[in-house]
Amino acid sequence: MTDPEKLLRDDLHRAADTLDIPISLDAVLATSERLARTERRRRWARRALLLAVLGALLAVGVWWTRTPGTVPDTGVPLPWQTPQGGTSASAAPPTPTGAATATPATTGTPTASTPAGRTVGTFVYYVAAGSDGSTPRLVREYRQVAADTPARGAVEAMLAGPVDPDYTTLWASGTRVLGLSRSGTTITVDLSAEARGTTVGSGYESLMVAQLVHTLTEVFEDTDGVLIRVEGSPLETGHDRYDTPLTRASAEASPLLLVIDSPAHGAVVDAPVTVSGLAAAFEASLHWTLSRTDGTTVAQGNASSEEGMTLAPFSFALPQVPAGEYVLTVTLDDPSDGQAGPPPSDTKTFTLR
Amino acid sequence: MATLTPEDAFTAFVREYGPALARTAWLLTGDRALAQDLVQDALARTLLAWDRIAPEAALSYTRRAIATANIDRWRRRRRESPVGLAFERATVDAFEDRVADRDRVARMLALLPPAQRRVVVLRYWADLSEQQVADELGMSVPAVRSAAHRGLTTLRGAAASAPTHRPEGNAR
Repeated sequence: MTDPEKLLRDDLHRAADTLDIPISLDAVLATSERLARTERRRRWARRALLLAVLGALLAVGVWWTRTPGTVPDTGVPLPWQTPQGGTSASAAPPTPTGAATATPATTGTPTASTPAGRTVGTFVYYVAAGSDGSTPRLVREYRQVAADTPARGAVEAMLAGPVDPDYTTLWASGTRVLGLSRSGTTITVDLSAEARGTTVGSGYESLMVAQLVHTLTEVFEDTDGVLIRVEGSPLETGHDRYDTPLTRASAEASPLLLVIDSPAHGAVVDAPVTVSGLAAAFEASLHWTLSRTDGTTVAQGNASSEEGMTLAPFSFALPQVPAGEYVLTVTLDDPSDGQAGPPPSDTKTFTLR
Repeated sequence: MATLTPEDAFTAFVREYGPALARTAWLLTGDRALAQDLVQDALARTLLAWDRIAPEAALSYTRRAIATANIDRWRRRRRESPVGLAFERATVDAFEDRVADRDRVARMLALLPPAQRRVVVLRYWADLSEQQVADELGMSVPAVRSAAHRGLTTLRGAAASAPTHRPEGNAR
C-alpha cells in the first residue's frame, strides 16, 4: 500500500471503527416477513397481468370479428398506424367506410381529413411487462402518425398496441380518444368509458399512466402536464384518482430503463447497422449480443450510454455480418449480480439486406 | 457451526457482523439512520436467501445487498449529498475530535461518485483485496484499480483544499 492509501485507510478506520449503529434483529425479521409478502404479491400481480393481457387479446378478437369495417364514432383516423417502411408485423386494418360523415370530437387539434395522407414520426410508449422476472418498464416505438393530428394519432397508436411482440399496452382494449386539447402547458385527454375497464394492479397502473403521459408529452413539450379524463371525469381506478395534471418523472427516476429505438422490430436495414436507444445503466454499461433466429450467437460486445445512473442515449455500430435475419439483445449491466431479478433487456428481430 | 439451526446461525451472523456492516453502510451513505435501515433491509434479504447462500458467502452477499439497495435509493431519488452542510469546527476534546473526524470523512466520501465510493470503502475500510472487491462488485480488477486510484486522487485533492472551509454552524 502506498502512503496516501495508508492515510485514507487510517482515516476511514478512525472515523468508522468506533461508530455504534444498533442493528435490531427484530427489525430484520419483520422486514424479511414484509419482503416475503411483497414477493408473493408481485408473483400474483404478474399472473394477473398475463391473464389481463390474454383477456384483452380475446376481447379485441371478438370486437374485431363483430364489427368489420365499422368506424369509431369520433371521425378520426383509425387507431392503426403502421411504420412507413412497411415493416410492420401487425395485420393491415380494414379501410374505414364512413369516416367522412362522422363528427369530429376533437377540441384542440385539427380534424383528420386524410387518414392515409402525410405522416409524421413520433415515439409512442408501451410497457415491457417483465415476463422474464425483470422489473416491468416503460418502452417506446417510433411510429408514423397522421401529420395533422399527431397527438391523437400517437395516443391511438398507444391504445392499439405495439409492433414489437415483447411489448404490450396496459390500457383496456376498446378505449377510444374522445377529445384532446392543450391549454398553456396542460394537455387534456378525454378517453371513452372503456378506459375504466383496466384491470392492472397498482404497480402496473403507474406504468399505464406513464404510457399516456410520455406519449402525449412526446408530441407536445416534455415538460407539459397531462390531465387524464374518462368521459369528462377524472380517471379513477381502484387505487388512485388522477385529478391533477401529471408530468414525466425526472430522468433519474424514469420508468423507462432500457429501450432499443433502432433497428425497429421487423425492420429491414442495410449495413452498416447502428444501434441506438435509451438506457438508465449503472455506470453506463450495456452488453449486447447479436444472434441468428436459431439462437446461435454471431457477435457480442459491450457499449455504454452517454451517462451512468440516469436515462441517457446510447449508440453503437454492429460489426459486419452476412445478410439475413438477426436477433439483437441489449442488456443493462447488473450491479446486483442477479439478486434483484434478471436485469432489463430489450430484443429486436430485424433483417439485414 | 454444524450443530446450529439455520435460525441460530442467522442470529449469530447478525450479532457478529451487524456492527461492521452498519459501519460500511454509514461510509457509503454518511447517514446513521439510513445506514441502519439499509443494513436491516439487506439482512432481511439475506435471511430470505439464507438457505441458498454458503456460510462463507453470507457476508459478501449482505454487503452486495447494501450496495444494491443504495443504488435503488439513488435511482429513486435525485443525487444527494450524504452529509448536508458539514463544517470544520474547533475541537475541544477527544469525543469532539472523533465527531469532527467523522464529519470530515463522510464529507470527503460524499465527493466521490457512488461506484468509486464503494470501491474505496471495500478496499480501504473492509480491507478486501482488489480481486475480492472486483468479485463483490462484479467489476474487473483493472476497473477496481482505476476506481480506487481516481477515488484516492479526488480525496487527496479535497484534503488539500479542506482547511479553507470556514466554520459556519453547530454540530448536528
